Amino acid sequence: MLRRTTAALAGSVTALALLATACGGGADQGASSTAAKKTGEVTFWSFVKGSDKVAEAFNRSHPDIEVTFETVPSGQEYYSKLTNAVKAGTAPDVAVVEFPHLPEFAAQGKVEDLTGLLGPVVRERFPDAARQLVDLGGRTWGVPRDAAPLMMMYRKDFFTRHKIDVPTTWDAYRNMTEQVKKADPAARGGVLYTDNPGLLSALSWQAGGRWFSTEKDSWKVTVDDGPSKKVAAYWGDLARKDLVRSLSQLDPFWTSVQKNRTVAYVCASWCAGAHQATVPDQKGKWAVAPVPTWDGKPASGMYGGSSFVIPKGSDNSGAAAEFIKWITTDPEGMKAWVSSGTSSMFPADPKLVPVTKAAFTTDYYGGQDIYTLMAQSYNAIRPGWTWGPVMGATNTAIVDQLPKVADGSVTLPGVLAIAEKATITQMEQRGLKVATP
Amino acid sequence: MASPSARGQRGTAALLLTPFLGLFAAVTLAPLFYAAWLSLFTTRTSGLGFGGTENVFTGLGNYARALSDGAFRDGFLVIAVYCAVYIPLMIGGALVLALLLDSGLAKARSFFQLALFLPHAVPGLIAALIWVYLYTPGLSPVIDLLASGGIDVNFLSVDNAVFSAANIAVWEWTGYNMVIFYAALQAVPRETLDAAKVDGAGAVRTALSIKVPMIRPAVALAVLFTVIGSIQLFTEPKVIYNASSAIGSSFTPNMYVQTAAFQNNDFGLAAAASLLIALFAAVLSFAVTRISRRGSKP
Amino acid sequence: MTTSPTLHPAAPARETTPVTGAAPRPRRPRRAPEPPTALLSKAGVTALLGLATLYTLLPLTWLLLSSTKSREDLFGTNGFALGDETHLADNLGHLFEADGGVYARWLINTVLYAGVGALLAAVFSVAAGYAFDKLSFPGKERLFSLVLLGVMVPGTAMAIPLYLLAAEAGLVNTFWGVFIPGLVFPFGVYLARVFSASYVPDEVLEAARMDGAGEFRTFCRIAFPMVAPGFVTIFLFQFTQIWNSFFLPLVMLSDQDLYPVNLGLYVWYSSALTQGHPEDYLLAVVGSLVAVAPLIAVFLMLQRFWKSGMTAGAVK
Repeated sequence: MLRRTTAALAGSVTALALLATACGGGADQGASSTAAKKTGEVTFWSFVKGSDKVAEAFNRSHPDIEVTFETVPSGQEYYSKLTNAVKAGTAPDVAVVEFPHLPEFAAQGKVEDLTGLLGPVVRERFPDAARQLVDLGGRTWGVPRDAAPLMMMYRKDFFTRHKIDVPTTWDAYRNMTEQVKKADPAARGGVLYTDNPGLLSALSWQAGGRWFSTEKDSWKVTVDDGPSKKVAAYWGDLARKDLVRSLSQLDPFWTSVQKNRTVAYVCASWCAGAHQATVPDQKGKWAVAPVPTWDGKPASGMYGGSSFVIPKGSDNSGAAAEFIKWITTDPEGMKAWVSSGTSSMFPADPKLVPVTKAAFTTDYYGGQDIYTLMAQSYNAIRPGWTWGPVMGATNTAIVDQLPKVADGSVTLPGVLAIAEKATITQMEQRGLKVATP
Repeated sequence: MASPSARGQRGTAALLLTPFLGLFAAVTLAPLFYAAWLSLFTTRTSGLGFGGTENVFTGLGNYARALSDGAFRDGFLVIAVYCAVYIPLMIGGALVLALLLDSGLAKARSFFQLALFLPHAVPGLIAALIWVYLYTPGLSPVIDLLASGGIDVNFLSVDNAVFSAANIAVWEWTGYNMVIFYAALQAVPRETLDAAKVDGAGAVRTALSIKVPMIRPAVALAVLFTVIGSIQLFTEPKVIYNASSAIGSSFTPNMYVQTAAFQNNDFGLAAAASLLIALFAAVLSFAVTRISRRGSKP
Repeated sequence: MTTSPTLHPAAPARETTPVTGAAPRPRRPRRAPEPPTALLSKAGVTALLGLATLYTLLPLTWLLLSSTKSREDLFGTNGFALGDETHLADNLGHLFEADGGVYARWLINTVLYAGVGALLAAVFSVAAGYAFDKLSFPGKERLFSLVLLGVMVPGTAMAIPLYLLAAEAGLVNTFWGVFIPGLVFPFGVYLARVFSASYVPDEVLEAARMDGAGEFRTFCRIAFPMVAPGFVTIFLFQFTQIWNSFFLPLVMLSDQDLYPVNLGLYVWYSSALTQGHPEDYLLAVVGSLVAVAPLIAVFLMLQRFWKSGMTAGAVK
């Protein structure tokens, strides 16, 4: 027994050792996409809830295409996994990529150029607010699924009891946080997440900041431009003065909500569903409001949102494109996404809003018409925002510093400057052209 | 020794070693050499980057980049402090616990073994949840308890981060090494201990002057591997990374590697840094071996 | 670099170990011979161990208590207090029903990866460790150092080249892609060498050689049973290591049906709070508690071997 195993193992060992020398270069090689045949098998990676339902529904209505869904973890591990899968030639045919990560994938040559296959669909169906996130350098790299326009969540009961007005400007928001703390010393009217830079960038976006832009063949990096610095100074000050809590967005945050210690926070469309699922017993106490703005006029940005791509090397891009089109723009596809009734996601394709609206009951929020609020926020999203080509490095640089803001060892505008420097260093390392501002 | 016997030993050695060494070559050495090869390349693109990437040979460029990066070098200082705290505490703790269990005085030995080992069996994910909870001000019952006793601690501050990470490691690894030491103590011959008793040696003296010297090889082995493991420190600080203002993404050399490999997809740099860590570990373990050998001679 | 630090245990261990035919060793005395000091009394020793146990077990009560809570209580109550109601049964029910009962599948996978993997890894380690300790062959110490070299490179970073090689071999997203790497446990070889040195007296081998037994036969019939406690220890360590391994399955697998428990739980956990389905968070917590249970079972089973190992030196 031992002997036989030994022989078998020795064989595989030799094979592997040979491989080790044979595949030295490890260059990125992806088979170029084949013709637009719309049949066959499609593998599909996603961590978005409802992905299994979507794949099932698609298979039912498209007998010629067989979609196999595979669950993957979310977060940075997923993007690393996807990158390596493309490198090794084992990538799926369709994969989810959140907006902030899309330029990085495109700039590493890890996704197929979809300009020909899906460019017309993107142009026809999606407003600028979403399209600007998937069209880069004149080409289309992904198809948006959900947008994530900013909103504000607040405890209606707390605000009524203590006669606090719902703020519509950031000045008023600061007053609100002071009133909240006065009314209940344990409660706060906001959060500065220590482990998620997404809200900070969304609020910079809302204020008119532009962290990245492209000019001919070079990137412009202005993470600490005027509007972004204004936003950072504002939130850094709130955190320093302990008017908002500096917390991890995971269990510590939800614990603070559950224990009535967080009575208002800025979030996005999808939070309505997440919130009611996580804190079910506070039903009827919460309401949704438009996100405050600097000048009182509607303005918004996105906190989250996702798109679908065809990773480089897919050998069935025709069928993959068909699948992507269906799950992002077809009412039936959208219906499948929200079939559980627990998601308050806002479709990037405005025509599909009635579908998601019908699926999400707002009893938790006292029957409030939150989809109309979301639509207004979506329409108010500032144009001209682009995510960066090394967003992993940019985000890491920010997250490294975020926990230090509350104790004063670094200022939040200072964090932006550090992030900008780290971003440029990483871009130059990769050979990307950076324009001098 | 007769030559047929020597030949027999050689043949048997080959037979016994082949399964391990063959697999070792396939799943450890092959990736290692492959990584060494990849460490000589870097991925480059141009312009906006949308034209794709190519692999460029940089020779030792990635090594130079890692070595000239202060963030990478500082990690080794963190490791030095960490080792100074962690190794004596953990190895000492494991040894004492193993001796207590072996002293013949302990009740419920099986239960204690299991209880002490259990943290090692807990999935890393859960260990992270537990310790972040215990370390986060405003949530932690431990901090509340200490505060009510007049002690204010911030486990996540700059001064305490290394100790907080070391504490998690002590929690996870003491039981593990205790099991090794306990198993080694089982091999100490009965007669030697009986002889000591006849000589009138007490339990402490038996432990210190007979048992400890006899399991010296196991202890030295544990120290060696703990040093190597500490140089690769990753999990424990990563657990409190998001919560602590003191711990950045390149707090330890291995975290630097992870960031390069998994955040920035800069595998050339990650591979170069990994091999530098290995080189450092090799030098250090050589030193540890030397010291423990010298120490073992009377 | 020649690192064979610790391979020669103190001489008395060998000289005084009973070789053959010794009477069963007397049990250790129940009481210390001289009047014990306070700390060394039975109560003192037990108290010290109890203190250490508090340190290891108290944090774990969080896991135990959290598993019994409803979602509201999980975030709303003290982590070290009971929730308002006990939901353990409900939570367990959800755990085994979620995603079509995939959790049970993960458990079975993990038992195969860790159980069979660690068993083979322990056999290979003991065989190699014994060869390094007892047999003479050319290049021995150099080879032994090479094994240590493999341990010095941070393992998690090696997951990527291993993955790329596995892709070439067609092992990505297969059972073998995770199983085969689990068969290698270099620390086990080191441990086995130390255990072989202290548990297997040279005299026994010489006697066997005199009797004309072949080297391989001697290993199988005589030495292997003697190092049983070491074998069990190595098995336990590799079992836990595979049970909790994360990076390799993460990059290697995408088919949920092949996941080990640890990766499956991570998938639930990673998107639960960020993607807004907190019920998966609770599943990850309860799933972790259940995942610890097999490890406890293995530990208890192995303890019996350790005990029997105490008399191994006297086995004929």
